[in-house]
Parts: sequence; structure tokens; C-alpha cells
Amino acid sequence: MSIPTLKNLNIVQTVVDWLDERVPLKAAVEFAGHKEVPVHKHSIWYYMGGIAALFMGIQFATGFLLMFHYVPTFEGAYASVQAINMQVPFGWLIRSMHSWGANVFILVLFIHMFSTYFMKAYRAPREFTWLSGLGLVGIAMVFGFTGYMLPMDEIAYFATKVGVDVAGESPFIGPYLAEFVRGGSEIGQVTMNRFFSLHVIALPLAMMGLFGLHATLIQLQGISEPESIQKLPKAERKYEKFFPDFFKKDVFVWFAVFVAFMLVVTMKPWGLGPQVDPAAMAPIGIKPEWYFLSQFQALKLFPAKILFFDGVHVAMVFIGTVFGSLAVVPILDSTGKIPFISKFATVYGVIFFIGWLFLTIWGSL
Amino acid sequence: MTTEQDSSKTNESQNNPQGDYNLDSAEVSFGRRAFFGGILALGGGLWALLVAGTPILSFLWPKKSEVVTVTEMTFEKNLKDFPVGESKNFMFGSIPALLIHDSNGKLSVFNAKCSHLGCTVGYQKDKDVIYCACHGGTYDPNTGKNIAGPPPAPLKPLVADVAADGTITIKIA
Repeated sequence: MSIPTLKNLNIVQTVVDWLDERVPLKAAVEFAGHKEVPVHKHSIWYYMGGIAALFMGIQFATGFLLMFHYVPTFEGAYASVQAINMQVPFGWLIRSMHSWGANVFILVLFIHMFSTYFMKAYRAPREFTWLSGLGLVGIAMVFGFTGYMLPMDEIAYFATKVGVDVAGESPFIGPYLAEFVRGGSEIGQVTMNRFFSLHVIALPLAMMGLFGLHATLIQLQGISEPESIQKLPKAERKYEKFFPDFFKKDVFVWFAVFVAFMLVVTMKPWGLGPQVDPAAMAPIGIKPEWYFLSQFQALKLFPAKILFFDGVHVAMVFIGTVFGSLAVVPILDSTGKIPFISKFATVYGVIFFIGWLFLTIWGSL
Repeated sequence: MTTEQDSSKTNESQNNPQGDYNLDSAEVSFGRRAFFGGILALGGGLWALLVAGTPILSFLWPKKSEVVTVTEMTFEKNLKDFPVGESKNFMFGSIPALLIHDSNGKLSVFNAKCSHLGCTVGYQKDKDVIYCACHGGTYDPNTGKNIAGPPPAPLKPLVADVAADGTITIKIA
């Protein structure tokens, strides 16, 4: 670095140069500029990952803020959430953003997941990108489940009860697992401590780690193109630079989505159900959040006994297999060279999606 | 790195007490080194897991909760104030319970924990059934038998005794 004379002193340039010697800024920008984003009629799905990342950020920020007023005790939690909603200035806004944000985050993750599935973006060499993404969806669902309990309203209590009892029906280790998750034989303060520390420490760290891997893989391997685009002659395939071209559009989409999100958040602030009464019967019409509705409906449909087995065990094996298949089927189709398997993966995805949608809608009725 | 090499050398000399090791078997010795390295890594990993895992798991394991076992309690209402068709969800110690004055004029009382996935059941007077709102399990209000929906077993019964003055006492079965 040449020492600038007074005459040609350019402060910005000097600072940038100084920094660049210590942090490889220019290399990073150049690297981002090398990455190209395919431009075609399915390009819209490329925004989903970025939107999901935006909502992850919203969740982290609003969650951090909520912790300043939330009291994680079995007795005091409900009152503290009530205070956040009614007394703390803009508490309703932060809480509404967090609760709505959780739902939108998972919705966007689902859209992102299904769109990458049908574009067959999971194919080699991107198997780990797919699996890490699947892991992120899983973590987001556990986030939802643990966060659900924290306000300690009626639905929080029964959702936790059912969720833990489902775990308790696992083969062999079930009863121990349920006891371990609850921290005792009944849901209480110990359960709350467990859910809270998972929700605010373990899960955020796990999510950041896995997201880091996910995003790094995408930067290293570039964005996948659907088969129909890959088949086109080179001249007909269009690309744009990720940085700054695509990134500018990304920022615009974030802005638009955020405005729409804030409209919902403020027009329909998230409420709070009645406080839990452990003696009272589960309220008629009680339902989990929409992203658990398909599992919920399946649990309702399986009868008490199927042959020699308890229906609930069969239901769990069924649900586990169906969701587990999302990790297996794409790996089978990872080469994309076996037409039968490729077709199977597509058909399987369609059946999965329709089945999931059907059960979710049915469960909501 | 040095320690690894040292340890593999030690292993070699142990395995070749005659010292008939020669350069031709270099590949073999590399395989052996990797093998012992692997054993070392695996053993070390297991050891670390045990050393770190034991205190962490023990720390997290729920302590035996001192359950205050209730064997008997007086119900809050007298039979005179609890006519046929009436029902009440209440806590029997730490468990939710359900008392019904059923259509036969009999008092039925159950542990109200649904045998499916543990939600609290309640009495539906209009349909004369015990119902779980979580997944639609239905039980017979007289016997507690599971009659529809996913529950795999009947409700666990409790006992209701009525004294001459109408005082209702709930007991474990």
C-alpha cells in the first residue's frame, strides 16, 4: 500500500485498501461476482431461500427482544406474555412479528423445499445441500413446537402434552424419552426450563451452524438449473451475476415481502388463548399449528387397533417413514441417470405434496 | 503427529518381536498404522463421549419426582348439589380426574387422562359420552370403555363413595 500524499488522498479508497489488506474483501466480492444465477421461467423459486433467511433473521431479532420481558416460569409465563401484549410499549408488535414470523418462516421453508424438490436441485453434487436444508426444516419444526409451549395458554399445554406423549410411544425408549423431555412425570417447571433453553440456546446455534453449511455449499456449487433448462443449447441459456445483479433483486423482494408481512402483523396482531387449567378438559376444536395438521389428522385417522398393533404405533411408523422418505428418495435419484427412478421421484413428490396438502386441509376443518 | 508415529512404531515392534520388518512391507505397515490410528481415534472418541456424556446426561436426567400420592379426597360438592347428568373435571392429587353422575344415577369417576396421547377428557352431556377433543377419542361414561376413535384402552377407573349425608369421597381403585 502506497502512502497517500495530501494531494491524492482518497479517504474511502484508503480505508478500503487498508481493510482489504487485512480482510480479503475484494476476493469475496469477486467470488460473489463469479457466481451466476440462471435466468429462466422458474427463476422465481430462487428467491425462496433468501426469503427464508430473512425470516430466520426476523425470528432471531424479535426472539432476542422478547426475552427482555418474557418470564420462563410455569406460573408466571402467561402473565408475562399478557403484559407483553397489553402493557409493554410495542410489545404486541414484537410478539406478533415473532408468532406470525414463525408461521411464515415455516411456510417459506416448505415452499423452498418443495420447489427445490421438483426442480430436482438435490441431484449430485448437491445432496448435502438438500439434506442440510431438510435438517433446517426439522429444526424449524422443533423451534415451533418448543416455542408453542412458552406462553402457557390452553393450547400450549395440550400441544406439549400430545407432542411429548407421541415421543413416549416410540419403541423401546419411548417412556424414558417422554420422561426425559418432560423432566418428570407431568408437565411443569422442569419441562418449561428444558423447552426454553432448547428454544433460545440449542436450536438457534444448531440452526446457524446448519444454515452456514447450507449457504456455503450453495456459494461453492452455484445454483442448480432444472433439467429442462440444462437441455437447452448454450446460446439460449441466460445468466446474471449473483452479486450485484441478483442480490439487488433479492433486496427488493425482501423489502416487498417485509412490507406485506408487517401489514399482516399489525392488522391481525397475534393473540393469546385462555390460561391453562390442568384440570379442565381439552377444549373442543383444539388444533395444533397448521404445520402439524397433517400429522395431527393422521393420528386421528388411525383406529385403536390395526391387526395386533396399537393404531398409534402404526401411525407413528407411517408418519416417520413418510417424512423420512424425503431424505431417501432424492438420494436414490441423485445421479438422475436412471429414468425410472427419476420419474418415480417426481411422482412420489406429487403424491407426497397432494397427500400432505389434503391432510393439512382436512385437519383444519 | 509425532506421538502417532511413535505409538505405531511401538505397535510394530510389539507385533514383530524378531524385528523382521523390512521396507518391502511398507504398504502393510502403512495399513497397520492407519488401523491403529483408527482404533486410537475410535477409543479416544468413545472415551470422550463417556467422560463428557456421563455427567451431562446425569445432570439432565429428571430426578425422581416426589409425587404426593393422594389415595383419598373429599369431593368439593355434596351429592345433593350434583344431580344426574352433572359432571366435573378436577385434580385428584397430581392427576386430572372426571366425576360423572350418569344416566343410571350412578357416580362414575375416572382418571381423565386419555389413553391415546394424554389429553384431558371431558363429559359431553348432549351425546352422553366421554370425549377427548384432541383426536376425537370417545369413551362410555358408565364404564370408561373406549368406544370410538383412536384410544387403545379404557380410562383408568377411580372409586366414588357416598356417605349417608351425601358427602362424596374419591378413592384410588
